[in-house]
Amino acid sequence: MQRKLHPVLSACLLTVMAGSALASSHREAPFITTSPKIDGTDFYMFRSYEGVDAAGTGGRSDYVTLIANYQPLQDAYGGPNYFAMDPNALYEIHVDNNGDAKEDISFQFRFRNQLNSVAIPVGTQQVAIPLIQAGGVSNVKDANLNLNESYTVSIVRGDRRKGQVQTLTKVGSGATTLEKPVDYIGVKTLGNSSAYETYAQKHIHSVNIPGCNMPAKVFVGQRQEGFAVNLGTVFDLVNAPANVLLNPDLKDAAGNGGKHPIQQKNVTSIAMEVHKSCLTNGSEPVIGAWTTASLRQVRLLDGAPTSGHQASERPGGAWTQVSRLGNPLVNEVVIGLPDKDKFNASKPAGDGQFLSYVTNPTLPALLGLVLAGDLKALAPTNLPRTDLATTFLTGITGVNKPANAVPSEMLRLNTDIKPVPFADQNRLGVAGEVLRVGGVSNLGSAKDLAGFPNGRRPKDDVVDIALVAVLGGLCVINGDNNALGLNGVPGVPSLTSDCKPSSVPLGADSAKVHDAVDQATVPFLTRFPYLNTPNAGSL
Amino acid sequence: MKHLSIPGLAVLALCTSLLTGCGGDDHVTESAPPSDSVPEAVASSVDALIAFAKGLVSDDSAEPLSLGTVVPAVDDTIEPAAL
Repeated sequence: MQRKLHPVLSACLLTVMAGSALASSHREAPFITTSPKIDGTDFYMFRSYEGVDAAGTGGRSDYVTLIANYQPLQDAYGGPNYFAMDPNALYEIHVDNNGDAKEDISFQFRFRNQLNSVAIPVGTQQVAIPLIQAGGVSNVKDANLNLNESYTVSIVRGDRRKGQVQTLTKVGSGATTLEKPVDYIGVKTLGNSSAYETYAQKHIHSVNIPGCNMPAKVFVGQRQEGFAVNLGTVFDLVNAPANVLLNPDLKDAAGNGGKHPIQQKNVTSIAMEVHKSCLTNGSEPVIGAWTTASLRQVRLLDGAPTSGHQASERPGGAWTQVSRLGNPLVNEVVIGLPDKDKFNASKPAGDGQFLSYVTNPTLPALLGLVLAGDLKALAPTNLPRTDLATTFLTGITGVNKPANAVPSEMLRLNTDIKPVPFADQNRLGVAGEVLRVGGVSNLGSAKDLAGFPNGRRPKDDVVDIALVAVLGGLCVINGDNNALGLNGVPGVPSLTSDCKPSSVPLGADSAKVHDAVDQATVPFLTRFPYLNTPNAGSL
Repeated sequence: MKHLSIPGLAVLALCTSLLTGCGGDDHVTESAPPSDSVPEAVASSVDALIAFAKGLVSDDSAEPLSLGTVVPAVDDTIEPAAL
């Protein structure tokens, strides 16, 4: 844009940017804000690092952990109903293991909330209580629970609707019903944090996946919000001085050591740990994955509901996808507001319709406007942005690009790259490691190429990585010799650009950008399900 | 039961959410106008359910239709009907 923006237009742009930016996928699209129970917030996929040694072997290293978080920004005290999953929804994790942008494996989660109709004598009558618990809770299907949450998991091979459906079963019993722990109501009901974690871990189920020789783990339950972002500040027109955001020493200036306000919130995690051999296809080590949630297309509301639990709704028709999440931040800072609902309903195979949002991104221009008063101040000039298209749509050659990649948005993981113990993980993922060793030519010295965008681990600071990427940091790394092959997009010869340092207004400083909240300070578990014990509703 | 004109159907305030979908089978036939209750046909086929929902009109002055014992038809193998 050549001419100076009208102040009102500028304000509108800033509002749009601030209102949608950098919340991974929390409340990111208009429709999904009306249905928080099926709002996918973050998706993680990584080779398990539980018990892994410095060489990336041992422990659970041959497994892949997939975590799909739903129900954003839960206040722990949100009783008396808390945050049960939606029994009228279908939650899914999809895996594309041949690069064709279509799901080859889908794990489907269906929830059931059983009301136990606990009643107490009042005078001469037995009267139903208004709470979901009638006393202390410490066991699976605890007798004091008035509401038992459970679920089933199916695997679909092929098309998610027309493929072969089989049900996962518990190792030993063969049962298909899996129990979910009640949310962390508070310490009087569930004990201290340690006691709650002990209770929650009783709900980690060892399951058999039909067609897979190795048993998997499944857990669904409330966790502490693990996503670190300076949410309120970002929403307030990035209300922080640029000299703070560019000073690496201040990368946690607003984070308070993992006690940032967003860490006071909870989410509900759907977590699986599956042997990598059960996810990959032949000699192709790269898998792509994303999570979706769907509702029935028609929802009849009963003006005179019967007694029961969530009895006002009678759904029917086909499953209709309303939430989609692969890479973090895509539907927030890449997709424009008019197309956010459309993106949530879409499939990767149709991502060509969103290509302009990637090749000609608005975020770097808006950041320039917000922080420097100039749309061009911070935006890399290599349009179309082949660096972003490659990172988000095909994977990076030699890192996480499948041999035959159809451009599409999903989280991609090279399962041949060994995991790294939590303490040794580079918070800035692959880009951070390349910078740490001094460039692509020194990759032989790299210790950690197992981070975002090669999958995503809880510790990966995807906000800072995304900021570095959109402001051209990958082009600085790509150098003048196209070291990462980012001057083009694999399989799309029509897209080329000069992704090199001189195209980046910030130059080397692009690698210093952060949001002043350090993901690496957030507490996590070093074992499945990795995300931390949730905050208690009362202390 | 009194006869309702088509405009009169607007007063039927079944609280229905018809989620927007794309693609899929669009061979949906129009159903008979709803009366004061949801037709049992919506339990027998997704096509009938979609047709019924398409025929509903928002109205601020009506009471909800009775659902009775009707359980809407579901199908896990199809894509959403185009609207």
